[in-house]
Amino acid sequence: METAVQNNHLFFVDPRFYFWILSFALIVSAIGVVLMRNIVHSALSLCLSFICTAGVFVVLGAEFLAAAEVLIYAGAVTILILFAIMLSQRIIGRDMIYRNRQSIWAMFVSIAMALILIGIYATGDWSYKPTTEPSMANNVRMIGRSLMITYTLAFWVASLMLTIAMIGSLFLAKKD
Amino acid sequence: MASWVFIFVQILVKRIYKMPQIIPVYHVLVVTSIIFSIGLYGALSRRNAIGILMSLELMLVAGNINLVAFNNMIGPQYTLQAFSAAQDVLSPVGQIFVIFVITIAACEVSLGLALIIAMYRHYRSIDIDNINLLKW
Repeated sequence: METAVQNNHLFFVDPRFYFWILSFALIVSAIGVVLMRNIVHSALSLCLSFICTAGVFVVLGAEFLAAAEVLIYAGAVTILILFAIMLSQRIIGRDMIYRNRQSIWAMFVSIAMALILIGIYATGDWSYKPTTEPSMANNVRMIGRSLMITYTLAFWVASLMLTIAMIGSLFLAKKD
Repeated sequence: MASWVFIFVQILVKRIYKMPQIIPVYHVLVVTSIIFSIGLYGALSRRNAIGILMSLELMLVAGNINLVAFNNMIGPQYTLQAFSAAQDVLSPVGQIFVIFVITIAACEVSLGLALIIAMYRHYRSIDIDNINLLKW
């Protein structure tokens, strides 16, 4: 009797296995972000979902984006959100009612949105031919090259926009 | 009964492993649409303004994963157009889109949190239902 799983078909070298585990963790932590009663727990669950997103990026072959996701989102944005929570609540953890009176309708709308999106996606043809060897160093090098050659204007505009947003948020949060 | 279950699992495993070992784009799309809907629910039903901002971040994350998956799907064609020497390397067009989306999301988060802190100074509360100055 031959074995069903061949030697080169081990499940732990299969990227789909990691993708399913990471997407399950991502969905669970996203539900935690939405449904947690305490806003600090919700922010920590958001950090976990960002880390799972970085794992999904690695599985999909975008290593540079995974590093950027961990640095920017899981590092900076979560800390920023936690500081904003600490600055804007009188007593941490015991605050107001956490959902409003339209939450039932919001649940209907979001479930309908998910079903409509999945149904629309099911009508398309998503087959593609994979490349032979997506290499990590080439990936980062190609990102750098096209960011510096093809998309230079967008890069400059993005940096200008970051500066403007920094100045604007300083001006808004300034005590007057 | 147990043998039927065993045979069914074996057929399922064979069918799964007969497919090429790439992540199907449709699975990625299903996962991201679920995450987008969760974020939509949070943005519609939270009363805390920071909770709404976090739900917006979830929706942006879903869009980013979609862009990376589409980059895997249509990347090689654009690689041949843009860089004639590289044939087997994934083109980073979708990943560059994701970099700009991350930049815009960072701007959005910093401005939104500054607005929330200014709002808290003025009203001593960040409950969205209480803040109805611009409502009709």
